Amino acid sequence: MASVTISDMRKSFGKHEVIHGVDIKIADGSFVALVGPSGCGKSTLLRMIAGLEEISAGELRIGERVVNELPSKDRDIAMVFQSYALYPHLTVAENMGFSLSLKKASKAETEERVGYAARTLGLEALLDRKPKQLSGGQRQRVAMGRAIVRDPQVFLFDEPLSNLDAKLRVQMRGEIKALHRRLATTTIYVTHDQVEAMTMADEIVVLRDGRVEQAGQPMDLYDAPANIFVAGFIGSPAMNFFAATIESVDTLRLEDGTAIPFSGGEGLAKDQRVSVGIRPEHLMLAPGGAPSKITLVEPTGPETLLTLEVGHAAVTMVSRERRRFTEGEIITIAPEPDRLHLFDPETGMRLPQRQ
Amino acid sequence: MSERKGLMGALALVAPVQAIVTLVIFIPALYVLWLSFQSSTYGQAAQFVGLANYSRVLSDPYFWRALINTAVVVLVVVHVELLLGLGMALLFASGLVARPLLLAVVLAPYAVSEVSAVVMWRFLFDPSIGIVTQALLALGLPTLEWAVFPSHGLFIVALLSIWLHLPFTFIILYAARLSVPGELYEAAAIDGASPWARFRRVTLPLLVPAMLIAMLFRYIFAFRLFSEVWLMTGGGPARQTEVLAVYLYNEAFRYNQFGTASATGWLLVIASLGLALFYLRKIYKEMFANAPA
Ligand SMILES: Nc1ncnc2c1ncn2[C@@H]1O[C@H](COP(=O)(O)OP(=O)(O)OP(=O)(O)O)[C@@H](O)[C@H]1O
Ligand SMILES: [Mg+2]
Repeated sequence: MASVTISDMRKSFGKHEVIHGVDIKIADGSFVALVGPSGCGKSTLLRMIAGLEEISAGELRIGERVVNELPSKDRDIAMVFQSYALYPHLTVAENMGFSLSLKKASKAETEERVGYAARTLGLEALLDRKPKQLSGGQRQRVAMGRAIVRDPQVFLFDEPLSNLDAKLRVQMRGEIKALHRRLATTTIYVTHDQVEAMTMADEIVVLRDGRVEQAGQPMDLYDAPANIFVAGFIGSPAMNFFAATIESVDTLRLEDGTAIPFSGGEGLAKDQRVSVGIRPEHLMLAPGGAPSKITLVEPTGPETLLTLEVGHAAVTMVSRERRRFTEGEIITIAPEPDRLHLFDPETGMRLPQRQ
Repeated sequence: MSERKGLMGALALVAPVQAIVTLVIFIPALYVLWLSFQSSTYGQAAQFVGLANYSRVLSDPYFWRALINTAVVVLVVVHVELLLGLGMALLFASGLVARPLLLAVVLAPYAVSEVSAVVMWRFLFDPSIGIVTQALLALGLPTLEWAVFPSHGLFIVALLSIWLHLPFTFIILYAARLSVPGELYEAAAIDGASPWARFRRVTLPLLVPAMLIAMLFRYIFAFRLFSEVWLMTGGGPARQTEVLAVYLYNEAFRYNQFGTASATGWLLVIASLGLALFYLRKIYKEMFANAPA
């Protein structure tokens, strides 16, 4: 196992720079998720680590070694592709043992290592099948098996679950996480699905347009997003944003005149303009709160997702109350005062708040 | 009931094709089979002679000359085309500058009719004034005396045939190569495969079905080799460069022996099947052996 250190890494395709100086430190044995919207450069970054894409500038270390110029096969990494990239003409066993057969490993060693991977992933019964005779989930496992057999320093995953149905995705999410706990191999996991990132990773790196927006532990990103982008990206359903001004140390006033109590605003100036972020799960039914009209009710069982009209703004709210909501009904709501997020409306950066 | 109806509907849909195949292939083939047991020429009723036509043909040294010529040319042409086609397909797939233009250049011979191609080549390789002959002379290389030496004649026929049909083999292999996902090569590179190993262990096995199909088609077509020989050497000198189709044509329309010509036709079918059998078996295995039952 090894740490991975990315320093000021850049990538240009022709004149067009798509990764603009990224710094990420990945601790030995940790599970890091790279998330971000489509086109932000997640795959490109991962492929640069894998050696499939040349590094235009900056430095990449795996362990203590600078590997910028090393070919993929010498970087001691294994990659699981979104399409799985299984060799269609080889059986499951041959697919998993491909790297060993290239190294002319002995039959005994191959059998032992392929057998171990197959047992780990529950593939023993499928070893003689060809990829086309497998289900999507089984192919996914074979692709992971091929990575495990190589016993690499670093696992790289590029959206490995995106071709699976929702249920299987949740199951595989658990399996990959369990696998990581067992093998403790440093893992870099690319996904555009922030739920996957939140549930699986020790650390999340949020990317946008080829830059790191924020890196940190999942709950830190959730509790204290560094800017409006991260605040809106992490968390589902997404955070609500309002324009507001600071009225006093414990009161905000929204544009439509609603006063909102909050705490932790000691460092802020009166009349300062701010963007307020409120997560849907931090809105509550409150007598005397802002009157809101329900426009959509989406019960999921344990909780109910409500779309509301507050003034002219559409607001989402998640309620765990066991109560019947009807569309068109007027309810009064208020945020939990200590769960507000304040951002500078110009820069989008988080304003200092005392927690 | 409804399944039966579906079957009838399906039969109705394929019926026109079946009818045409029956009319232009099946019935003539059977007629030729019948004719091969008859003695027949112009102005004379066909007369049953048993296997006499076959024994006549099989004891004719010119038939054996033609059979050997055909087999040699076909084997050379098909295999050289396969190697060249594969090499070019890989070259094109590896990324060339001006690929669309080069593709058009490579495919162009396929658009040339055989007759015009032969006329062009006769002109290019004319033993005294041809441009290629002049060029070979200028380089101090031996020239092709294809009208004099049978081996030169067959060589130029093979060369011409390759030039004419390479685009077919190339395009099939190129399409097959393009359908191999690039990620397989990336996965192989990470797994530690050298370029040679990637070719041997990924590209080649995945191209085998396309290679077999291309070769089978080329075997069948190459066996019918006619116009290149007929127009280039006319089978000469001294019938030494005849191929089976030319031999058949001579039997039928020069010597007016329809019986022996028909027998030759069936022998040609059997010989080409014999040559193609290996590939047919392989294809059969590839296609159907691991198809879901
Ligand atoms: N080979 C290439 N040539 C030119 N531009 C490229 C190439 N590969 C990627 N890009 C560009 O780089 C940017 C990042 O692409 P990348 O595939 O890394 O995005 P991503 O974050 O993985 O997106 P997704 O979630 O859709 O997979 C995009 O703007 C893309 O257009
Ligand atoms: Mg991607």
